[in-house]
Amino acid sequence: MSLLSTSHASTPGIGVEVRAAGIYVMAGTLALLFQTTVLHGLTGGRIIPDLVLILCVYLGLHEHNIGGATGAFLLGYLFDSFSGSLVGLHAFAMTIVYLIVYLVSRRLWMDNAVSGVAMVFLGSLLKGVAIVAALAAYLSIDRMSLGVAQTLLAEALLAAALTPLVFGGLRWAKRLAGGD
Amino acid sequence: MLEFVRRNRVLLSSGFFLLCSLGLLSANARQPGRIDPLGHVFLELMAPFQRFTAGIGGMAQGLFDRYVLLVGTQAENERLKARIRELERRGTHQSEMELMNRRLKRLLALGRELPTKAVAASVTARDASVWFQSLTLNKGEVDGIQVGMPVIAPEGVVGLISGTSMHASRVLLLTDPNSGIDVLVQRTRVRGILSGQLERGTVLKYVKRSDDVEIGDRIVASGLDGVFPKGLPVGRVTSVSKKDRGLFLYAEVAPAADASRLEEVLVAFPSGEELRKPALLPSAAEFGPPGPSEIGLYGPPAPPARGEGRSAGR
Repeated sequence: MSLLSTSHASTPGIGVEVRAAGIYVMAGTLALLFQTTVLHGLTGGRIIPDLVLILCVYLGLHEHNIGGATGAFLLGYLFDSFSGSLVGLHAFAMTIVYLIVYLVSRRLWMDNAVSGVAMVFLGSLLKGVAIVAALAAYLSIDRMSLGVAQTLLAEALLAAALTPLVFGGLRWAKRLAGGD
Repeated sequence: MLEFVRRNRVLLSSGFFLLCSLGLLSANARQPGRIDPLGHVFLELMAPFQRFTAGIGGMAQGLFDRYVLLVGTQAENERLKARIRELERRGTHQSEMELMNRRLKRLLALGRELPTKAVAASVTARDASVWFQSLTLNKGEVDGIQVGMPVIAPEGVVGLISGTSMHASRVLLLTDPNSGIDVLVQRTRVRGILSGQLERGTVLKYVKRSDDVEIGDRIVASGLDGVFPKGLPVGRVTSVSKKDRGLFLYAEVAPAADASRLEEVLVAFPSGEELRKPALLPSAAEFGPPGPSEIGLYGPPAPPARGEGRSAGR
């Protein structure tokens, strides 16, 4: 089994790309809606499963084009709009995650469930590190407490646990739209 | 050049967006306000969806709380109910102890006031017939109780010991048709005999029509019968009837001690006779858990002095 990924030889039609974009927009909207309402209420706000990040990793694994990068940035920006953080913080972190996942998926075969879960787990940690790094650079926060690390780890585990569900839903939606 | 861009479009676009992000970050970090060109648009667009989702989520949460979590609530409810039952039982027990304590204090006070020695006893049974009035006590001959001894409650005279066994005795109540006590009308010192009747209550006999007896007069023991100490309350006159013919008036008297509610009584010893027990009344430690009407007042009984089964004759 080759660990090297093959390049995307086939070029989908415009209609399929538009439908796929529509699915991602809808998925991103739903993910953000759930994160800001239902999931927040269920967990009491202590740990919120990062569905937007899972979507971002999915883009990094499957959308190797400008649309993928744009999507990751917009997801991050959308996230920033609904969080109290610095505007651009999550946009930066999501773009980093997308880029790293994209680079990894170009080198390694990632088209299976376990690798998807692993990438989401690592992507979640990466996002945390990116956010901390950005905060350190822009807000002079030079220390990360143990509590923050634990929260990052818990979020990563939770996101990894939800990955099969989100990836399955996205695959199902894309099949329904005729793009997969 | 175009080929390079095409081949590295993802990297280039990612780099571009990273620069955009860093630019946004820098701008927001420098400015006190929030620079978010598209944020208010996103907020406006998402607001109705968020309201809808939050509403659905709230309903789901409420459903979960009301029904799924009811399993725990039910278990807690059962635990609390059991706790309430236990506390109620304890409360009843405590109330019973308090009431008993109050009664015994009054009994103790009465025992100190009596000119003779006395032994406390509990009522263990009542008369099987509705026509006659008697009580059974938990003290008998081993405790020194003999036929003819007066039985007294804090409220007043109860009756006479009419029969004894080794460990029990029977009291003929004041209200029994077979009983009779020499009494005085406290206010006027008029003397008479108080006797029970088939109907409830007692009647004052052998009082002359001309004697001064009024409703509400207190009746006390005269002490002339040699049984009840003089001045002990017996009852209160409830009605007076002076018939057209005859020598005596007819007065009904309500007994001072309501025998139907008695639980503990004192049995007084004749003057000069000593108790066979070292203590007149028990200490609190000698009481076991209170039964319905029985209280263990003394320690192990002394050897019997008389035969069992003697009964009173009038």
